[in-house]
Amino acid sequence: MRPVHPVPPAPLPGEADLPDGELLARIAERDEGALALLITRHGHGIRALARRYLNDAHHAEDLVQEVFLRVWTTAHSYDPDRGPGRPWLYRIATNLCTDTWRRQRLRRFFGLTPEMPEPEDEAPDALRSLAGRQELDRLKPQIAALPERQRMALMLSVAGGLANEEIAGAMGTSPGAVEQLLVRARRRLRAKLGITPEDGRKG
Amino acid sequence: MSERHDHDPLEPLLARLARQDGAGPPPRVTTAAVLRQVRRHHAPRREARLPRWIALPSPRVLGAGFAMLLVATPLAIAGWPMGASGPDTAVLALAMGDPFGDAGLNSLLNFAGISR
Repeated sequence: MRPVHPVPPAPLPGEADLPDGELLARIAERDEGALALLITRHGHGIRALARRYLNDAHHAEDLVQEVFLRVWTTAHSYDPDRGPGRPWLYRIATNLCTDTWRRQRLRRFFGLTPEMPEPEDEAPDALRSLAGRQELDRLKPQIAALPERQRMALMLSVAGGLANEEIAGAMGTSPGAVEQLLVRARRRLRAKLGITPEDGRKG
Repeated sequence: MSERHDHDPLEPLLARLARQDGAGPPPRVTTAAVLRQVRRHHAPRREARLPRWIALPSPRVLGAGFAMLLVATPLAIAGWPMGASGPDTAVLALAMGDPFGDAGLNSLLNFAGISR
């Protein structure tokens, strides 16, 4: 292994525009700058996904670290011919999220972990208005109660900002199945929250 | 199968939640932290360098063996029969928590000079 620098080198000018697949190829060659760039680019999205999927801010931080650890150790297995880099990266994240969620569920079943803690609120002040918080507070448990795959598809779409084709790549399914999962998840949330698409048209 | 979300009040709510979840300081993960963890993962484990025989049996089994040696050795030297009905079996059965099982009882009776 190449010697590890205490501070990873900053990306060179022009590297910031490199596609994810190229970054992964460089990571496979032990380029720490490429890893730093990938973390900067996708760290927030993966944390948001994990945080809402697991409903636990602390586990989400650990999971982000684990995702990039796996990226560093398995980047050589990424095949650009099989698709772009982002779904590959998010596939690692979804697998880890699912494993962690199942472990947490088992631990809760045996009473080893207290009930799901609510993530701490780090939102900007504008989002902390009482009405806004109440709406989000109603939404969070409903998302947590969605079936696993519906929740994952919805979070990849909303928190990760992935397109349906990318979600399909990350979840190992077809775009059609993703569309169905998203429709069902949204329909279920609307029913639970008592809102209809017409509510929006009125406003 | 597709739905338009232009007027769906759920969408802004989901977007706000995503913004809230994505807000805050950057993830604590840094390249240096990831690489430190990689080094830890790939470092040879201390246990891996120890020989296999270091993996000792459980204290209960060890205790049973030790008790058997302690009691049976002098008896064997004194000429008591050893084996399936000998005192060594009785001590072992006692240590394993089953003194009145077949082997344990036989050996105890034998030890007392009573034929079953």
